[in-house]
Amino acid sequence: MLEIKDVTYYYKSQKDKVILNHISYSFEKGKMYAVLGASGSGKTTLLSLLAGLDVPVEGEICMDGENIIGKGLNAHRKENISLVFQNYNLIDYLTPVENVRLGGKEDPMGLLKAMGLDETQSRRNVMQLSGGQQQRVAIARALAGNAPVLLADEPTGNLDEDTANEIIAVFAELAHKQNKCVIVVTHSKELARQADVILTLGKGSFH
Amino acid sequence: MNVFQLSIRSVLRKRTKTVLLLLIIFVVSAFLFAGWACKSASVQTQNESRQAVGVSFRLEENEANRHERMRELAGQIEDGNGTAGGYHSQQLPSGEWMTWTDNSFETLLMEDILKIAEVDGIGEYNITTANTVVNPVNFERIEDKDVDQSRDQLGVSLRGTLRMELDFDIQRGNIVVKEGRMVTPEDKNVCVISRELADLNGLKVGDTLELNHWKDRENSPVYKAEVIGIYTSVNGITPIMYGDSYRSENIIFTDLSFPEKVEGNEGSPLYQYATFVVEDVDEYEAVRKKIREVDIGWERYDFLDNTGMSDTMTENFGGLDKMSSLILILVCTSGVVIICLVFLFWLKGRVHEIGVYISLGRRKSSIVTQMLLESLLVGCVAFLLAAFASPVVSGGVVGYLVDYQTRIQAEEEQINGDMVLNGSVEKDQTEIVGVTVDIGGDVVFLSGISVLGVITIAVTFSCISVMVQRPREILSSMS
Repeated sequence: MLEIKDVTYYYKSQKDKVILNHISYSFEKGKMYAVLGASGSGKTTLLSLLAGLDVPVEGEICMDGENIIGKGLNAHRKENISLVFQNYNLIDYLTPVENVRLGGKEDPMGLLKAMGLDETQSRRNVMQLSGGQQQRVAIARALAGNAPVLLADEPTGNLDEDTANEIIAVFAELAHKQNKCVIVVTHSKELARQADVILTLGKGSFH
Repeated sequence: MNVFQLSIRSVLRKRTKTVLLLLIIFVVSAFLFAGWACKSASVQTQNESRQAVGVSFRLEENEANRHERMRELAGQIEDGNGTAGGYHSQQLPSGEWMTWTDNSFETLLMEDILKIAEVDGIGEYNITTANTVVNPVNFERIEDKDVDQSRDQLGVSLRGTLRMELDFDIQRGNIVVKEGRMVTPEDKNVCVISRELADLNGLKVGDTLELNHWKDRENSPVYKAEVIGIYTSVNGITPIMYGDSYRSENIIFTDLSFPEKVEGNEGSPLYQYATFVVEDVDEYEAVRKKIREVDIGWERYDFLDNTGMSDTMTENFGGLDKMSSLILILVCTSGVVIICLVFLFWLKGRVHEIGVYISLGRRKSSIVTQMLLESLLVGCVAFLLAAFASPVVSGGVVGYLVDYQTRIQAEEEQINGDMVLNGSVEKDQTEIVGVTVDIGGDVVFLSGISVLGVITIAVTFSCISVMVQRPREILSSMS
């Protein structure tokens, strides 16, 4: 479904420091992937390439067999990818309902309720919610576009253990019940244990 | 959610940012209003000064072109002796060369005068002949007995005029016709004499003057002109040459064709000036433009604003116009810079928001549009507030600038006092000029366009710094 083909990446200012070195992998629907690795191992770079936020120096990223550059990176992000960040990245002047609408769903109340937010919480300013609630809103927004791939960068990094477990459960459910491809970049071993596939990045390649 | 909905929410919910931007755009808008109102006010002031004195244009011979024509005609005469186009050249027995021109060379061309007179917006017009010295046959001239008259022509000066009421000495108030009437286009063989000349000779309206050529006092034909008016000197007529033949009291106004007859050049007049009165002073510039489009040989002429004071006023308030242009440039430039800086500052705080939008697949152009729309929404409110405040702000700015210009003008007048011929007229004009600031539709329109331009340039320019970054760089700077 989402493939990385012989991808190499390095910063043009530091050509001798290769971050990703000719790696290839194919991500499939219905599975939850955990990408582990030390800081600076290239986890976030990999996520950026998969999301179409950056382009590889060599190789290509393909969605359903088609290079994402050919379709357009904006279109790829809009139609194929949902992103969830560690710091939630909600728009601070919008309510949860309005934030989720940005994802493309006109009537998001059902989605927010499914994420555990009631009507009142969904109508107040998003900054008045707790961290866990904000992350739920962020996930709801990611799901609103019904994209087949969900990419998450340290989604539980700012959450307490109970809330983190709830969020991990949501991700697992998305992969297994809604047949999405969930790729989570994390340091959390707890989260990694819940994943179907664990990929460890180091020295520019998967181990 | 579309761009407009997002913009509205951002403006309404980020109140501190909105109020600050509102204040900045309000100040910029108010000064732009003042700048445009100032330009409008300066035009009104020019018109008012013209309204006070009336506006006319004067056509006269261009001296440089006269010399050019003389050179050309001289080149057309073979071996130097002969005549071409009113230019004459003759070698004297002594071997020296004598050259001269006749009226046909020197005169303004009647066909050119008539073409200009037919221009829309021109009311009446006047033609004035060159001063023609003639011999007084049946009367005495005013003469200074203590001055040696051996080098004088011992005559009086005739000034032929089509409409005496438009003569520049009448217009400037140098002389006033208090008895009888002035010369009109229908008159033939008439004259208006000075009070001094009338008193010396016991002349009154209805009497007849007899005049002939000053070079042949005995044999040249005598021409008669009926006295139809007597003028009184207020400031006197400035003599064009030294000698009693040209003194103010000896100048006799006649109908247009009389001087050429006495001079022995009937059918070959010497028109020195033509004056054209603009019917509606508000149409001054338009009429001037139309006249310039008339198909005549303009290189032959100088075309002047006949009211010397109007020229001065125009120059001074042209200075006001320049100052208002300077204000506009300064306000626009500083407005762009200030709004740019404010936006650059805000964009640092909005990188997070931009990153989120990019991760959601929004195009950068759509994000810039949202920023621009937000500014324009705030700009609309600020502009409306500025429109309400503009009469006060503009009035203050324009008042200050006019006072400044008036002071400059007064200083210039003081410096050039001795060079001004007509102090009284000048003072009257200065007093009449008033300034009103009219915030009309054109001022609102121009100010609106200016504000729109300033905001668009500022927002676009300030957004460049973020928008040239790659999405990943923006997202990296979020954390």
